[in-house]
Amino acid sequence: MRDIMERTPAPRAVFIDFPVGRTFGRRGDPDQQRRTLRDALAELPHFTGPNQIRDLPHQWASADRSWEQMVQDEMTSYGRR
Amino acid sequence: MPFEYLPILTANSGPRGPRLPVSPSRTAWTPVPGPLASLRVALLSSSGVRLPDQPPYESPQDTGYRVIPADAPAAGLVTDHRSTAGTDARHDWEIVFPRAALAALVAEGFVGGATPVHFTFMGGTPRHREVEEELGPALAGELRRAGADLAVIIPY
Repeated sequence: MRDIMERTPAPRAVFIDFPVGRTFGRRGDPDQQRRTLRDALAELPHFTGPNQIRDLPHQWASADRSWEQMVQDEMTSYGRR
Repeated sequence: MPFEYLPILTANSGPRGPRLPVSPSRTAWTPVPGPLASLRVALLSSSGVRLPDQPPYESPQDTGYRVIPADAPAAGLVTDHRSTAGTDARHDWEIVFPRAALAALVAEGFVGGATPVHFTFMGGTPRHREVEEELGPALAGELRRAGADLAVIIPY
């Protein structure tokens, strides 16, 4: 989503490298959801002007990037409709 | 390196041509009116979520919005969004519409409050002019009426 964010400037943007459709984390994990929202909001004082993207360090599954194939499959399935 | 979505959107565009992100004609910038612990926060989700008795979004190109009470049970929410990307949200709307998470942050004093209602709309619409000239101003009016100091816009 960061590539899209770079082309659609916002007043203040926070990026987290989670799979699309799972912005605040895993389903059924309210602690992660609250933590993600909290950390995103905590970036607010650090913006010095518009069109900035601040990156959160959160990872979906540590070094495991297999979720990228899941996302690709989901998006390809939608695109074929 | 963050996962790149644009190549997939381009590859899947078919005869309609690639969907291209569109920048707003201008980027708004409003100073934050105070520390987070004093701010009332509203959520804006492009998940197309609504209450079951609200009118359905007519299509992915619908530029309307729905008003969702902060305390409406999540189990009763439905969506007209047809995206297959992120079906997890249909099992737990909090991951794209974190009303309970926001309420928890209010309870712990991290933010000053939450608006009594939040808002949803349909993401991915190509009707950029209507989004900028109609949907955006309409939501801005709703946010003022709801007493929001800060709005969090959430992609889906």
